Order: sequence, then structure tokens, then C-alpha cells
Amino acid sequence: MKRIGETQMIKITDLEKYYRTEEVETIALNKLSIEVKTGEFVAIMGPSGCGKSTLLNILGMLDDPDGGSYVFNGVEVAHFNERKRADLRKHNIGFVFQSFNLIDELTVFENVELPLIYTGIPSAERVKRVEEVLDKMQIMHRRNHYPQQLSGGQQQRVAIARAVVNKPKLILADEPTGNLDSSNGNEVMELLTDLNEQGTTIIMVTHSEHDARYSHRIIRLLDGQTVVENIMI
Amino acid sequence: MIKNYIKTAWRNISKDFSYSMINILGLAAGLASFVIILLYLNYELSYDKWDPELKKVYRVSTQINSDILQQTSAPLATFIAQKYYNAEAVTHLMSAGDYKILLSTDEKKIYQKDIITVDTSFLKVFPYKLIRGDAKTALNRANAAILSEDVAHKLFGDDDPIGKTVRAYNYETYEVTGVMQEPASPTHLVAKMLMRDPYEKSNNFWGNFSFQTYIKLKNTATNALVEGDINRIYYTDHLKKDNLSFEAYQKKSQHTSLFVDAVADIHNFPKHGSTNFTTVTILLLLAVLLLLVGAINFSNLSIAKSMRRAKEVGVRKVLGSNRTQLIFQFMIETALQCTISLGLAVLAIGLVLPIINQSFNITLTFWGQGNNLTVIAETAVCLLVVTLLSGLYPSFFLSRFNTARVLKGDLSSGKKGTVFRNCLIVVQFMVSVFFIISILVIKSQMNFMQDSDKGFSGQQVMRIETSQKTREDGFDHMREQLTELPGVSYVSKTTKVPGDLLFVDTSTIGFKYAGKEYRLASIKISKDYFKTLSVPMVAGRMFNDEVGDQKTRSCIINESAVKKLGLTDPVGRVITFPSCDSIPVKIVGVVKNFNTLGFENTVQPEVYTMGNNACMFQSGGAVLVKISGDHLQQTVAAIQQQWKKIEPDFPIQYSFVDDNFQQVFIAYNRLQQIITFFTSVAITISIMGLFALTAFFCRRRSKEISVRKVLGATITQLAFLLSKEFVYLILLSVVMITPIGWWAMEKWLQTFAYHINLGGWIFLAAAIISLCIALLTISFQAIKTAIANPVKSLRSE
Repeated sequence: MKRIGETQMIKITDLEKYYRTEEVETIALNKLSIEVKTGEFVAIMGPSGCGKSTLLNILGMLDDPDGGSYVFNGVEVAHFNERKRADLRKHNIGFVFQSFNLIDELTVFENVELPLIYTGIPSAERVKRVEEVLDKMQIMHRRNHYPQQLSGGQQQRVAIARAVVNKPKLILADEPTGNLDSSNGNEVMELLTDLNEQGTTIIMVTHSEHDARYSHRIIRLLDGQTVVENIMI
Repeated sequence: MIKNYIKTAWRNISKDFSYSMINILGLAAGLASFVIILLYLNYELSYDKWDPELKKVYRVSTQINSDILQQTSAPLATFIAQKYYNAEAVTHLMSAGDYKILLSTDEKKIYQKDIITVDTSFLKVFPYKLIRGDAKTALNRANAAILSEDVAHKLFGDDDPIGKTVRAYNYETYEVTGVMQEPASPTHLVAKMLMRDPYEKSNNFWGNFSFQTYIKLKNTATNALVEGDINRIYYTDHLKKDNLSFEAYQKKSQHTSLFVDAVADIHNFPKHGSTNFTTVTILLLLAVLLLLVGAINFSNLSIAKSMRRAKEVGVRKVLGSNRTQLIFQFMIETALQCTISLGLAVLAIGLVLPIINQSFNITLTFWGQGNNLTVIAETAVCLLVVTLLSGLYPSFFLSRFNTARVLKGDLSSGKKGTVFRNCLIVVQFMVSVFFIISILVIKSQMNFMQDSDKGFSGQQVMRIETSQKTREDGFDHMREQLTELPGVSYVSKTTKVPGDLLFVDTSTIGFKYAGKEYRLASIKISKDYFKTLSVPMVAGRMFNDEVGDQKTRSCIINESAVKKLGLTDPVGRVITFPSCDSIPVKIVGVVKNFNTLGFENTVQPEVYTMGNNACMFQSGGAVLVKISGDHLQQTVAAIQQQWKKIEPDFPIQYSFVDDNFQQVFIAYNRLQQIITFFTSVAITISIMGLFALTAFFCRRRSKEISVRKVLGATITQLAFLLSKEFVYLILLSVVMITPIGWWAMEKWLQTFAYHINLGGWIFLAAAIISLCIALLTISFQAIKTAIANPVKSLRSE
């Protein structure tokens, strides 16, 4: 049963982002306005270069918008400085990437533990929570392995474990199945659906219509603007 | 969190072990050199600080017009003790310094240096601890002697020396009343034996300037205050004439005054005279440059490696790390590597210090000698500075990465990073090229000095130490006994032996000629002195047995003296010694200038006379024996045998004048060794850095190289492409350092009266050497990349 809350988690209004070189200015987001409610699972689709990843980076507070408003949980964050953004991010947002982005020098356990270190969770509590989430992702037996020793599917499960270990309110997933075969891809989508059903808001960028069907709503972008929104029933 | 940082750092070091080792070893070499120089600086600064009471001790010296004398009048010490309100104790002494005095017991005879003739107050001023005997009474007896531990051991073994007797010069007998502990740090006044002055009570003559005077104050005061006080009482009691006020006298251009040096300042910061401290400061500066070269390697390699760390930075930012935390993480990583470098540097220092101590005759220790706290503090500061120097820029650079871009795989670091990196390479090679220029200039100057005509020949000329008796009254007898030996050509004596750095007399006195005063050096010789050293005459004659020569009515002068006196036809002119206007001394000959003091100074104007019959008594120096023929060893053996008859109580001490003259090069030989060492370290570090850096860039450009190769580029073209950027940078380094190097070397050469002219070839050679070294380093990697199979690289991309 998909549960969507009434409270608004994200509201962006007239969001703008430009990429400038010495000669050319490219508009990545052109006065884009979107709202996402708490508990929603939203898929963002569109052709390459339409601004999907740019939008996700701004939503994840990894990048600054050049104009417009971004309200997160009722707070205007568009002009937050690096420190404030980092603080807000580490307490509220988890990320899942297409290329997993695990740190090669850390073991599975240490990779998953990392967000807890940054939020200042005590060591004993960290061990408990990491073990819990590894268990849930069925990757516990690989806790002392390094990322290079795992399959793609296993690496993405570790990445999801890392994204959820801090119990974020929002998960931003950038083509989470892009580097996986269909079987592993489906497993990942099931995991994300489970998380959503437990209350986590998910915004996922994808090229896959199949994956998009797991969401409540699909936002299609073209040239930095919303062209259509499909509500999934 | 710190645990996580250290863990990541350690794994990164292990993962890139060879590059990490280049980083670490390069820095360790710089650190080791720096710490050694720091230890040397500590050693120099620790002079005369072996007891807190020494802070109150000052040496009094005399200035007569423009002449500086470390010695003061014999009665000055007693005078100050009686008249100066702030004097707690005053002592005067005569130190034999490096001059070796014969000490004998019934069973042993040793030649010992650093023997000091003292008065009863010595231990009240210099707080030596006695391990045997009582410091309060040890110097009370008229023939008392206090020995250092090692001299006591040399003379008496493990026996208790107290109450036993020691003879000095086979003349005076002393009773040992104490054994003193060696001071914990070096001192300008090394004391291996203290002997009570047998003539202490008769030293009342104000004209006797044979003593050094030291005051211990009741309360510490500034030098100026002490000088003001003692000069006022000295003037009032001894110098005052015509009711001239003290202030008016002080303003006169010609006047006598006293000045003081705190003992702790004598070695490094004397008011007058030379100091070693400038050399130490220059060495420290060079060591800082080396450290900088090591730190630059570190920064450059870290930046070069940054593309590997970019993803990690991005992920950490995504997971909540802010920039400060990332900077902190990278600084910890740098600190970890710096600590490892420091550990290796300490190990290297442990291995190198004994060699340095032996080569430079000093006692540097990393641990012990009461300097532990200083060393720990300095090392900690050094580690901090190096960590900041090496890690700060890479940390800021790495933490600045745009998260979104690096996670997308965009690793371009922008122009700013490249410019800064190139600047660092330029600075690094500037330092290396500077060292290469230095070594070429020093080597050329050394060769010039070694090959230059000294103006005399010291080949097969023995220099023999003698007692004053043999040198003066017994000279003719000794000469007869030696000249009868086969192989001995000439026997002569001089008060100034070429190359002698012991008691070398560079002072001049005011000779008079035609009513005017000319400051010339006075040297007493015997008649065959110039023949012994093969010094040619340019006018007049050599000394002979004429009465005028023997009775100091004739003199020979050198070319510098002729110039100073402004004479065109010097032979037959008459000069007079100071205060001897009534005794004329006729110039009978002029000798060609010859160099006795090395090449730093021009040849002094010198007046040579024979005997001590008129005006000025001069002694010291040595006897010179010229040996001819091929049987040097037999002749030396025969001289040794004969010497037992000439001076039965004094075992012969001899050296050769040629070897003796090498002493003037010792300081420069050391400088050359040190600069060679610094150059090798600087070049090694730079090569290591350049090697690693080239490897990184070649790896980064491997795809581009493969594409170019597929499109038809040759290996030479590719190697040139990869090398040219670095070659330009090194050429730029050479261009930038050349004027600085020229200026610095010109300054250094100006300290020599006789020196080479700086030629463009030195700078050209330095440029070629640096370029060759760099090209060899770069081309290895460049060629390796250029000949690699392009398919591999393209597939992996």
C-alpha cells in the first residue's frame, strides 16, 4: 500500500541553473517549479541533457541554483552556505548513485558507517545500526570486504545501505539500476519501494520506463522545464 | 572520526606505496638535513651556558684608538675588584688555547692544550664543579693546579691525583688540588688544566697587556651600563690628564677604553672580531631551502594524485562532510606521512651524526646533553610547519572539488591548480640549480686557491715546535747541530709561519718613516728564512752575519710594505720602530710578496728583522728546516734523533709547512663538503619528485597518447610532447635563479682578496647539468608511456 503524506517536503519555484563557459551559456534548468510531498516516490525522466541530474544535485544541496526558490521541509535553502547545506544534507538526505560511489579504501562496514561518523553517532550505536542495515540488505556476510571484491548488485546494495543507515527523510537516487542487470536492477527497485513504504520520500532519476513504474508520479523534463507529469495509479 | 581518517590515510599510503615512499623519503631527507643544522645551531647557541651563574659573567677587553685587544693590563682585575661597586668577583687569566704544553709526572709525559694560568678568584667567576678537592680552597696555594677529568686520567690513570705533582714546560712544578667536571655545554674558554700563576704577585705593571679579565657582577646589567661604570673609574684613576672630563675624553678620536662582552655572547655575537654565526645562519637558510624542496614534492604529488581522491571527496561531501572536515582529514593524512618522514629522518640522523661529529670535530647529539626539551619542542614545531607547508595547499585544493562534477567523473582541476603546481616545480628547480651553481663556484675558487702561486715553497720544509730557550739563546747551537745532518739545507726561525692558524699575529704596529706613521706587521726571523721558503728577493740583499743585521739595525720589507710606504727606491731608506725614534733601521732588501694567511686577505705589509736586540721583543712561531734530496724519511729520522740531544726534555713536535698551509683551506673544504651534500640531497629530492610527477601525468595522458599513436605519432614525437612542459619549466627556473645566484656568488667571492671571475660558463654548465638530470628523469617515463601498447589504454578507457 503506497502511503503519501499531506505535508509538503520539497517545493521549488522558478528554479534556474546556467552553465557558462567563456563563449556559451547553457540553460540547465529554466524556471522549473516542482512540489514533492512527504512519503512520495517520484521518478524524473527525460532525454540526456534535459537537466535531470542538475535538478537532483540541487535537491540534494550538492549544487547552488542560480535563481528561484527551494524550500525544504518549510525552510528556504537556496542560499544556504556550504556548512549549512552539509549539515542539513547529512541529517535528512541519502544518496544512491548509478556508479555506486563507494570509497575503495574502506570496507563494506566502514563505507556504511561513514554517514554515522559525520553525524556524530557514538561508536557502539554505529556498530548496531550498521549491522542492522547490512542484515536488512542481506550483505552482512560481506561486511569486511572491499568494494572491488563485490558484484555490481552487491555494491549497489551497500550503497543503499549507506544511504539509509542515517534514517534519512529523503533518498535521491540517480539512475540506481543503470549499471546493473535486470535481476539485480529489480532487487534494487524492490528495496527502494520497501523503503518508501516505510515512509522515506524517494526522488529517482531514471531512463527506464520499467523502473519509473515503481514510483507514484513521473515528472518528465525537456530543456530544463517540466513537460508533463504522470500520476501512477 | 580521526580513526577513520587515519585508517583511510594509511590505506592510501599502502595502496600507492612507491609514490608514498617518494613523498616520505624526499621529505625525510629534507627534514634530516634541517634537523642536523638545527642541532648545530643549538650547539652554537649553547656556548657558555653551562651554568646559570654565567649570565652575570663578562669579559673585559681593551680598545686603544682603533686597535682591539682581548687582553687587558695586568692589574686591571684587582683594580676593578676594589673600585667597581657591582663586582662580585674579578679574575684574570692567560689561556694557552690550542698551544700544546708539555706536562710531565714521574712516569708520563703528554702535550696538552687548553691550559689556563689563573689567579685565586677563577672559580669564583667560573663556577666549575670539582669532583675532587674543595672549590673554595683549591686555588689558594701558590703552586696549585686543577685538572679536568680526562687530563687527570691521562696523567694518573685511576689513581687519586690530589696531592701529586705535575711539571709544566719541564720548569714549574704544580701540586694537584682538584679535579673538575667537564661543563655540560661548549665554552669559548676550554679549561683542561688550571694552574696558579707563579708570578701573580709581581703582575703590577699597567703596561703588561698579557691577561684576559673577567668580571662576575653582583647584579646583571646591560653591557653599556657596565662599560660606562668601569670606563669612568678606569679613566679617573689611570688615564685622566689636564682635568679633561670623562665625557670629553670619550669624545676624542684617539682614546683608550674598555669594553665588555657577556660570556654567552663571546662565541656568537662578540662586540668586535669574527664569528661563526653567519655561517651557521647561512647553513640554516640552505637547510630551510632543502626542507622547502621536500615539502614542494609533497604538495605537488598530492595535487597530482588528487584525481584519484576526487571521488572520495565527492562521496564524503554527499555523506555530510563539510569542507573543514575534509581539510582536516587531508591535513591528518599529511601529518601521518610527515610523522613517518620525521621518524625516518631521526633514524638517518642517528646514523649520520657520528660521521658529522668526526668530520667537524664537534659533539652534536640528538638526545641527551640536557637539550631534550629543546629538541622535542623544535622537532614538534618543525613537524607542524612541515605538515602545514606540505599539506595546506593540497587540502584546500582537494576539498574545493565540486561534488556534483567529480561524481560525474569530471576531474579537471582548472588552470589555477596547474599554475600553482608549475610555480612549485619552478621554485624546486631554482633551489637545485642554485646549489649546482654554488658548488661549481666553490669548486672553481678552491682550485684557483690550490693552484695559485703562494709565493713560497713549503715543500719538504719541517716546522718544529721549540722552547723559547732553544729559539732564542740556543738557536745558533741548534742550527749548527741540525745543518750538519745530511739532507738538511737550511734551518731558520720565524714568529709567523705560513699557514699557521695558531697564534697567528696579524696585528700591525706604527712604524715611522719620514716623520709619518705607517702601520706594518713586524716579523722576527733568522737570516736563512727566505732561503728556507725559496722566497725571491726583488731588490737589495738577504740578511747575513753583519752586525747591523744581527743587532736589528737592518730590515727587509716585502712589496706590500714598499707600496704602503710609497717608496720607489726602498733599499737604503731608514724606518724606525714605534717609541724607538733614536734607533734607525735600514731597509737592506725587498722580498717578493708571499701569501702566509691564505687568499681571503691581501698580503700584509711586513717588516722582517733579526734578533730581539732593539725596541720590541717578539717570540713564538717555530723553527723551519728545509730538507733537500730524495731521502726525506731518513733525514726526518735523523732530525728526530738529533732533537733528543737538543731538547732532551721536550719530545719533538713537528709538521710540514705544505700540510700546515692546507689549514687555511680547511674551512672552505668543509663548506664544499656541506654544499656538495646539500646539492646531492636537493637534486635527489627534486629528481624523485619529478619522476613521480611525470609518471602521474603520463598516466593521465595515456588515452591521449594512445589516440595520437593510433593516428601515426612517432615515439620521439610523443616523448617530446610529454617532456616539453617540464623542460620549459626547468629552463624558466634557470633563467630566474641566474641573477640571484650571480649576486650571491659575487658576494661570497668578494670575501676573498684573490678570487676567480664569475664566468657565464658556470651558469651555462649549471643549466646544462640541471636540464640533463631533468631530461633523464622525465624521458624515462615519457618513453615508457610512448612505447606502451595503445590498445590497452583505449580498452581500459
